[in-house]
Amino acid sequence: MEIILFIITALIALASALMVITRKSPIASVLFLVLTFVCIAVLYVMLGAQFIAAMQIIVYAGAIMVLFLFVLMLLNLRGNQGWENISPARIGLGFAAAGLLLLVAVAWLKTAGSMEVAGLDPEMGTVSAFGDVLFQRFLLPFEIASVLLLGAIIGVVAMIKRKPLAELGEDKEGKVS
Amino acid sequence: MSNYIPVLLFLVAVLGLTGLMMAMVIFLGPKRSNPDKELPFETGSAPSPGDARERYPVHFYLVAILFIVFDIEIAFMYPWAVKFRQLGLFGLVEMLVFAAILMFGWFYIIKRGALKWK
Amino acid sequence: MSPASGLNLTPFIPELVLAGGLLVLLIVELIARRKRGIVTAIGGSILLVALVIISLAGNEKVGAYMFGAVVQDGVTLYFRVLFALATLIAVGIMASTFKKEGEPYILVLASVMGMFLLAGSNDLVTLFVALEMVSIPSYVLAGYRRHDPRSGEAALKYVIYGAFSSGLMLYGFSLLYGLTGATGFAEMTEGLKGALSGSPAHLVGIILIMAGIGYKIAMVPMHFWCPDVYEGSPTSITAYFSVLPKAAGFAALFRIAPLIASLKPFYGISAVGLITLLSAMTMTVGNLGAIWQNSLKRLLAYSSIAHAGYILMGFAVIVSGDKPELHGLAIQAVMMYLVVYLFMNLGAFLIVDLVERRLGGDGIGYFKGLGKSNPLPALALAVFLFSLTGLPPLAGFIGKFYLFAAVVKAQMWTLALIGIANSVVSLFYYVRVIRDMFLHDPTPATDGGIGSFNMGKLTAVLTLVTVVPTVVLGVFWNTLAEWLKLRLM
Repeated sequence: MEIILFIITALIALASALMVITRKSPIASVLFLVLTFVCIAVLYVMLGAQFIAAMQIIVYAGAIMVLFLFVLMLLNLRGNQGWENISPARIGLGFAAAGLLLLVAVAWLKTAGSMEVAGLDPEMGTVSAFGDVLFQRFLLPFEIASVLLLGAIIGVVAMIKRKPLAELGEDKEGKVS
Repeated sequence: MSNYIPVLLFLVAVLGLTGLMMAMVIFLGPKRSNPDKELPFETGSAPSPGDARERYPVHFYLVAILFIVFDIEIAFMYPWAVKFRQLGLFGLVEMLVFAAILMFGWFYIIKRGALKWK
Repeated sequence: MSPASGLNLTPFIPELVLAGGLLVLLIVELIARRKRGIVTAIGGSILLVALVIISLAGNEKVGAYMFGAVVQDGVTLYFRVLFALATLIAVGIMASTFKKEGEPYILVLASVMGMFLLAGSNDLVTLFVALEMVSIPSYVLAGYRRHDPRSGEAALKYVIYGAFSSGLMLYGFSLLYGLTGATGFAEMTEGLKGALSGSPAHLVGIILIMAGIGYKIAMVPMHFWCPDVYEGSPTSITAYFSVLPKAAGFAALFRIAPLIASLKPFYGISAVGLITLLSAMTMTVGNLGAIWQNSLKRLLAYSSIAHAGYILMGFAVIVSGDKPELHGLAIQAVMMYLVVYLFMNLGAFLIVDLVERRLGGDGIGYFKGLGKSNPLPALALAVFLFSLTGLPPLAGFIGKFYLFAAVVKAQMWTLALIGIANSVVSLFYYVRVIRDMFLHDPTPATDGGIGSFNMGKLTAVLTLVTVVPTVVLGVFWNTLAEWLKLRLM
């Protein structure tokens, strides 16, 4: 039962990820990306990582996708966004990279049986377990995240609300004496 | 996995209810069309002329990214609320520090007028 | 057990002061009426001086604290002082460009906060959050000339490469976490050492983590962003980029070095072999790339790639791991090199920034005949470039000497030979700039002609602050070497 659910979800995730990079319209790509995110959230749930699954939907499929759409509307892409701009060399490099990945995957599978994997608590993905580690063991990274977010706020506001270059008061006096 | 059966039932209920309501509109509702009804719906105001795909001002992006920042702040409060009793005063202070630092960001946003719409 | 036990804030005072100071500075910046930039720069400098003093005072080694998220030892202390000092000089360089707005300084300080944490990170989660804290303000700073398309390009390239390498690094983290079930470095190293043989997950995990850190230090093959970002960013910001996030990357590498060293040879790939290869590639690509550059900023970008390669030589010795005294020697050499690199590289960018502000560009043409029209800045730049080459009696020579000594003692002959060959190549392009400055007449081709300009008080002071250590450390390096040795005991 679980393996069937996994195969279906994983196949939808892969197919929609493929659609993300092959659609001509960026808006369609974004919508397929949402579908990919939802499928990944399902996979998280199957691994017992409830909290991460909820965050995947709320933050990624929700908020970040809205941001993506705003960026697309800001850029106002239209017309040729297709394959024709990609040089054969790049496609060749892409295949080379894929081949390398295949090689790693094969090496991986051949040794997979002998690998030692740490045993983890199946309950570790619940919201309660997450809260336990986040507010004690990882207290410092948690508090620091607020400074990180503060930096992001200042950065984005400073970038967007700036005056044109002429008013910046760059040091030009005494250029040539 | 069986923990998620209520979620599955909920999903079935949502899809079923939506389907039912759509079906009721299609089969039971009267269909009287006129030109005004065929216009695209733009939150009640008259449709804007011309192409809908024009460039949006960067301001939308600013609002969206500020929303994400505070969205993440709220996301952290979710496990905190679940563990609130066990953490006690310690947890309260932790979250207050976290929120206080972000309030500096909020103050900065207001003072710089980042949310003012020209 | 109350949740608050295990919370010891005393060793954390430098970070607390930095965070508090940052918030106060943000308010000051908001309420200042005129010259917000100058006010913030002065406030930031006071904060940084305080940080140097506090960091030096917190001399004791306490080991892990804050629930094991951070660790304080001699290396943490050293990096805190290094970051605060380098930022102080970088803020000085920026003060000539950003006068009316304080945000760049706030962003730099937020980034420094991440670096402080990185220097003491003892756990994958802290390491990652700290690394992102270093990166995110840097992305904004790279794009700070909003109306210059090159600056926009720089910011975009920086963000995309940064996000990509963060993703690779996180994948590496998750592989190692899957093998050990722990996020603390000490537990992870124990777990990985316990493995009987090398496994593909371990090797791929280490390679991916190296990719993430390699992006920060501009290591080949994660260096592609470096010349474009350095060229497009405002020059004073480039000065900051060329030293601080790079040193932060090396601080992170110090922390994960035990994880790398725990790698057991797998299909003939060992930890030492991996780092040696990366080091050799990085210095060679950096030096060969620099030869063709006509923009001083791009030239210094490639030279900074090459210097990352030299520093990686030290790490090759550090991860070889079997002899403890060799290990200490290599750490000391890397710490020494970073101090020297700080002064000479910031100094070089200071002069490039000065010439760009006064004459309007950073192309090699603007520097032709500078030795005749403006002998003092030209002389200072010559000192920095000679030091970057590693010629005695300048500080760069001592830095390289220590690194090569460690490599030779570890009997890594091939790496030493590649390093020496690279130093010879680097002589070529550094000296080309010096020759153009002193042996060419000023060409009328440079826009606006070349006349003598005044340096400005601040730039003059900063030149002095960077030239003096570059020269003095070349002669009296022993005090620094002894101080570093004490930190490592």
